[in-house]
Amino acid sequence: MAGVEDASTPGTQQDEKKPLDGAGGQHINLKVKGQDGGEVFFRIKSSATLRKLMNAYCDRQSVDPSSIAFLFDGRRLRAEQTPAELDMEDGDEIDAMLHQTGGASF
Amino acid sequence: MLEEFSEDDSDGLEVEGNQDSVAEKFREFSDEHLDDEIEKYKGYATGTKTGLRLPDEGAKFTMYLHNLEKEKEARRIKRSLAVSTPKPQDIDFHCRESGTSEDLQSKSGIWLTSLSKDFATCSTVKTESLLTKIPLHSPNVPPPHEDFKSASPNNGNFTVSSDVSSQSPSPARGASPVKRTTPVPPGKQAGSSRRKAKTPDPSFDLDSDLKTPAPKVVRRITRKRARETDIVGRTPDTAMEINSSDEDEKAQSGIGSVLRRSSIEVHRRMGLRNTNRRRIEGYKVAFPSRTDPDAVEILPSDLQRLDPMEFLNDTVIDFYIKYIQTNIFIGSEGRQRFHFFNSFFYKKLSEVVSTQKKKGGADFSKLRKWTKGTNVFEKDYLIVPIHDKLHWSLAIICFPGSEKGGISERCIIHLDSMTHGHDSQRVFRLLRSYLVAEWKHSVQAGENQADECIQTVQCLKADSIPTKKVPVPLQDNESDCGLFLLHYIRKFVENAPKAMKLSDLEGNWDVLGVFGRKWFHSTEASSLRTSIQEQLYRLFDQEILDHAQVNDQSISSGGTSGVCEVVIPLDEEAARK
Repeated sequence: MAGVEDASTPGTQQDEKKPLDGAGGQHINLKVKGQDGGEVFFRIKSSATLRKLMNAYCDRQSVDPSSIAFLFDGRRLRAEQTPAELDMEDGDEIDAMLHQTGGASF
Repeated sequence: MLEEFSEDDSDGLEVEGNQDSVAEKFREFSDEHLDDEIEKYKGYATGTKTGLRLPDEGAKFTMYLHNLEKEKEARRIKRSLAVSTPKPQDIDFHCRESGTSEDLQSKSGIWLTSLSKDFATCSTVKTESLLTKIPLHSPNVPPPHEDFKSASPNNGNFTVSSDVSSQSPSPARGASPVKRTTPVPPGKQAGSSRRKAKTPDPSFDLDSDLKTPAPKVVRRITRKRARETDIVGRTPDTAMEINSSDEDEKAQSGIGSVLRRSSIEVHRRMGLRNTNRRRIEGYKVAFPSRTDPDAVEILPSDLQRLDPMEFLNDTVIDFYIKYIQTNIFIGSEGRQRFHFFNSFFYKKLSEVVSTQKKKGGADFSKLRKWTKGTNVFEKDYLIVPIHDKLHWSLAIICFPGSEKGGISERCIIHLDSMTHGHDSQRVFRLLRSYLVAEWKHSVQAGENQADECIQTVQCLKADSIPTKKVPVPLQDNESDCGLFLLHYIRKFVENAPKAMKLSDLEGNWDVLGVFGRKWFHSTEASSLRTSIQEQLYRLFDQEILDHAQVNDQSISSGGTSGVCEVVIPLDEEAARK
């Protein structure tokens, strides 16, 4: 795991990027884990927003994006955030949890 | 039948050929008289009384009797309606519909003048409906026509229908033309006013009264009456409608302005809400700020969760928990005493524990990341929102690092706004297992002082953590549990005891300063609904403002975020390779 971290530090990877990529543009693998235990893997650029990942996950699972909350280490994710700014590392796990509503006990 | 009747008047019977006149005459009868007449003509019609062999075999008698009975029935129906409807329409029963609309108007105008101006707002109904659609006195008889009138000979009464009363047997009816148009003060019952009209009263100066009504007023009242008679003409069930129409009128006259104002207020607020909705559409707010890694993002759809009766969602809960953590409620010093888990923590915990059962080994490591950078055992209180089965409640882990017998004692308490809400034992079981696992981990990691911990590791077993479900104010509806959860947190952090022992949770809540059924009034919690919503609207307004300012600057930098990054969903098999 340490090796992966080393390899994916932005500093070492930036030189290998394609010209179009911005800073921190290396790809990382992320795992999205649903509440049923199912896991879906994504490969995403660190500088990319999570919107596409979220949409792709919801498409794949056939769920309404507005019904799912994505959490990383207990933090609620926003579509505009990028793996880079969240310090995500290769192999990190994102929780996909159904939004919770409640008003009374049934 | 009708034709025969009118053409054949060879016998000397005093039966008016003109249906109008007949009906008119009946209207002059008192109830008692009407009954008598009916009895009498029943006898005639059957021939038992007269003993005569009539050329038409009593057809005219029967007809006459039929009309009498119709009048009686009409009175009965109208009276039953009159009981439930206040006055003005009662005057209808005095008006002969053989009269012209002018006639009606003038008559109605008499009492109308005394009515409040507010009737001016009465809704309009075609005047014609009164005159043509609803023959009040004889509902089933076809309207009179010229042929009919002219065909009836001998009887001079036909020409002037209003003179019908002069031929009526009752001497009291001599003055009937006056009485017929007698103004009936609004408020009189149909029956009584009819009787009153029957007694000659020299004080009535009809003609002068008739001239008084102002044209405008007359028109209004005619419409009103037309509407009311329209209603009267329907089935008895519509009595309710009449009531409601009166309500409308009252509203328009007296308390009308108040009601109008309140309904305007409702519309204004609804309109405001819709306007707000549209205004914030497409925007989203991050609280406390976009740069905060723990920010909660609120979408316009989340605000609808705060509409009346709606259930709160995790976003609103997490937003307000974040809001409570701001300096408004607890200073930075006070904040150190608490750790606030978000609304998903408990769900994740139950997931972890359930997989533990399957796999035989608990993996709390994922959960540990949720408290990255925080040593929960250094906190006084851990706030854990509980969500399960469409219900919110609250658990508080008190002094997780304190041992029994100290100034403060470790315990887990559960606050539930419903008596049959969440299963407290399940909540306790899950949180105990979390605490034990975390404790073990922290000891192994050497986060706590080693010499103490060696003993406490043995001590901290799940069954050694006391638990207590404390009484709290309860929700009085089926939708506010999320608000109660938030209000519990808010009230608790504002007044959380510096130290707490198990013995403090025995019921002396006033001394403790928190908990108890009378901790706060339930409306306090319920009113959070609007205040949170208003607050969120303010945040959206701010966001809209900021957006407008930043918009120009972000055009250049916005280009990079718009670049499509390739996201490749990999199959699990592919990922394993």
